[in-house]
Amino acid sequence: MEDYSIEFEDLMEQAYDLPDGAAKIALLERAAEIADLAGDTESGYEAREAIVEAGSFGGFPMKAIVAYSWQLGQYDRNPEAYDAHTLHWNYKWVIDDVPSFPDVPAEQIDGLLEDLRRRYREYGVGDRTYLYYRFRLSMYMGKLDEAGEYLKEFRKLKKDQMSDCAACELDEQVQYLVMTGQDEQAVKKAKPIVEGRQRCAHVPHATLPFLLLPLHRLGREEEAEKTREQSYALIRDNMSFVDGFAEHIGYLSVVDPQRALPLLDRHLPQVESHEEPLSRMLFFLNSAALLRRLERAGEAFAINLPPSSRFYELADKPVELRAKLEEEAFATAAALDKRNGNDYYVNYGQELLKERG
Amino acid sequence: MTDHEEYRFQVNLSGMIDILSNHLYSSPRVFLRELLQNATDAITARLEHDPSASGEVFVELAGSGSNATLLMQDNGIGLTEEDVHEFLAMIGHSSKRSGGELLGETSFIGRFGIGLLSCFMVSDEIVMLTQSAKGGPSIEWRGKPDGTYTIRRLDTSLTPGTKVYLRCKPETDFYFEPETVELDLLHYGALLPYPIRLSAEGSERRINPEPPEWIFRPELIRGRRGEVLRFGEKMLGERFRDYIPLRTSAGRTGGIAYILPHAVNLNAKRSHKVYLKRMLISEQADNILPEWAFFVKCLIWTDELQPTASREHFYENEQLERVRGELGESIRAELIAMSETDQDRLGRIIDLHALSMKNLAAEDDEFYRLIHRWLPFESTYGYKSLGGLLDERRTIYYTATLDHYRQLRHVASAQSMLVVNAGYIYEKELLDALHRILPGADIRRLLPEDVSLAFTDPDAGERAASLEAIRAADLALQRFRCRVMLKRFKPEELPALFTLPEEAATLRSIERAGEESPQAFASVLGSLGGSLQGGAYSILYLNLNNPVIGRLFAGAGRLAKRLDTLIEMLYANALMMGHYPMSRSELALLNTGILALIDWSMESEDKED
Repeated sequence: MEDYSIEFEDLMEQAYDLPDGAAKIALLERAAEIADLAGDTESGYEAREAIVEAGSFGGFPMKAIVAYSWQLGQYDRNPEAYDAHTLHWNYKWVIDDVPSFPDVPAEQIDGLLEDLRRRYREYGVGDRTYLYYRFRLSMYMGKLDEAGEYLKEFRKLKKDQMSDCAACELDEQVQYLVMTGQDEQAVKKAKPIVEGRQRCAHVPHATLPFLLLPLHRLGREEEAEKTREQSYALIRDNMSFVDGFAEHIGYLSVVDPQRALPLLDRHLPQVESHEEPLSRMLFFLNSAALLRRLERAGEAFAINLPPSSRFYELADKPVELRAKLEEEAFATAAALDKRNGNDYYVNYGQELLKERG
Repeated sequence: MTDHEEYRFQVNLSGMIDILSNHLYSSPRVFLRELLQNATDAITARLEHDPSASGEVFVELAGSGSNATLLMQDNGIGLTEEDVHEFLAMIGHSSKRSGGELLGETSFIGRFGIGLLSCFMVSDEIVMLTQSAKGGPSIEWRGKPDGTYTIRRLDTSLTPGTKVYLRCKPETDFYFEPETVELDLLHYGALLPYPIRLSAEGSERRINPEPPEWIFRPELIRGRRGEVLRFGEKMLGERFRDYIPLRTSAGRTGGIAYILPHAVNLNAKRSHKVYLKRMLISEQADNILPEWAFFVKCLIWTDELQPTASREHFYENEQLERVRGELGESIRAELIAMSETDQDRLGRIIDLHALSMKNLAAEDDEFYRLIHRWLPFESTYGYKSLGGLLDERRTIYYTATLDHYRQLRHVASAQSMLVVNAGYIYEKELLDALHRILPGADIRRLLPEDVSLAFTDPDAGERAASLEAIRAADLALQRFRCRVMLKRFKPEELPALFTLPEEAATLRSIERAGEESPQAFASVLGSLGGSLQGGAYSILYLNLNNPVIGRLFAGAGRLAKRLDTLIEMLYANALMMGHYPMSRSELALLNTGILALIDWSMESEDKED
């Protein structure tokens, strides 16, 4: 038994040194396997706790959901053995990603939210976080009116130990303003984030990409360009910001499409196998918009994809590549809308192609 | 005792000292840097006033333990009575000014007071004797941390300069020990162009050697290897074997990047020593080089960066960004030059710091193209450089994850396939990009399902004979979503090989977690798994070259009754051999299977009896 624990610790240690992402998760999954094979539930739990974090913040939300489910099952069986605070806190990360998968029905998302509420209450935490996640998830599901209601509700309650940090809450409110087309208010609300007065491990990373087009639409080109530079350096190596890559491509296709091509070359091969359909869809939409824009401009351009890319054959057939990207994106949009019971994402996609394409 | 008057500070001084020591400075030891900075500024001002003067700093330690005292003396410009009043006023009033004073860019006098105050971190009384080079009476100033101070004019006239006396405060005697003071003076003042002398324990000597000219003028560095390495060891405490000179295009920042003699990980703390206007600012500046440069430890001087209020770091602004870019470029350019002129040296550096090099190469195609041959990878042909792998002149296959590599490595080796593990950080990106820097390179990504490329199919007769058995076997593993394929492959000792395409692997992990999860999550996992069902079959390859498998499929039909159990056991065995964690139903398979085998073997013994 000694053997496995040395190997386990070694893998955990190696993983600790890596940034959140594929390489780290591979080591952690191996560690979890070793613990499972040895029947060591507590080590398996420890490895999965790390998978949940690396998955949530490194672009592997499905792996996070799977690992978290397992953790929660172990916790329910033996609540004394594990750290309740961390487990309850991490629930938020996991639930946040679930609506991005169109195969999960709305009732099940509801079920999770109610489960979170029940568990938080049992843990002695009020409804603020529950309502805040109702706000976030309604927004992601294209139910903007409903999101607006929850936004009012949760802000009435006092913050508690499960509340997100001020920077994260601000970021979500900026997103809401952007989604509801309130460019000026969004930029204004984001000011403390842009100036670095409100920040955390994920803000301003998550916020800045979504300010590019609002700034452009407001005619604040210089700020947009400065924000673009600052933003891209923050996110370029982290696969949990695929929606950010997408916004960068979308912005550049409006202001200077040739400059967006290196981003397409770099990120398309990464994103095509990304676990999460919603981010993939946003990336494909913006990439399609870029290709449309370039087609219309009639300038020469080249796309450079590695042979391992499933779009490799289409690299020198941009019209076909664009059609393929649009087809896949709209299939996902339709599946999300069907689940959400509205037509938000299909409309969003069409509008996006009109504005950026 | 003429003209003896008492004044009061306009600020709460003890509160201010608390702020300095607990919130601004990282350690009380910076008092020595502040004193040295004051002395330096005073000498600089004196030289402007009188270019023929030559600066010197003298430090004396007397007494020991809690009776220790420290004197720092300079022969700089000195302070007039008016200056003394002004610096104290600056402290009290600095918040009403533009705000720049506390942030570093400030006049000599303004800084002087703040620097002096930092001494209250280690002393309950500060005595300063000063004589201005501009004339006027010599002045004695005595300050206490409760905010009172006295000033008096001395009867005698001192030589121009300033002396500061400190008396060790309880619990701070560490900062008055000769070794501590000597080391700190050396580090803070190593690049100062005039001597610092220390007198302690009955002897007096110069602490800082003449600063080497080559550190400011990298063009002089050739041919001084031994000297440069010794200087690095003295200043940075490590025995280095190699270094790269640094310099920005404007020549206002430069230094030496020493290459660490041991491997470091990505999160290792960078601890470069950075001198601003020849005084040490930081021993842990981590933002002055690009992130990929984590394999060097640097001595850097600059006169163009803006220090933070504590004067221990630099502001993250455009200037710093430019300097960082240019220093990174110095390192990159030297590495590129090595790839042309000194490949052994480059090879040694890459051997030690492959991770750093891979990081840079993944971001920079041009760099990647120049150094790709030296980057090491793990492969079925051993741990080799990419150049060595290319020289094999075979198709290079690579797996994008460690998991895939583990699945494929043994079988691939047996077929002499060259498979590279690109599962570690940056490696997949690099191999994906290889075709960009090396058009026509014969390199392909390998998926678990591709391993059968090198397998051979059974002949027509064998196929016909085994058809029924294969169908039965397929059916037996249907509930595990595993298909059975009969092939011939090496090594023949291997009866069965289980391969798991990405989707099937995801589905497997979803199902295993589902068995353990509470209801709300189990249903979500069910939905996520549902979307994968279609393409998510794993494959169990059975090896007809293996004698046991040969027997199993030679007499099809005859074994039909037991075939299910045997196939299930082969499946469970292949999972175990591949180190796959098993689900509950797979473990149950193993249990019932083993019991059945025992039962049959006893039956056959009974028959023999």
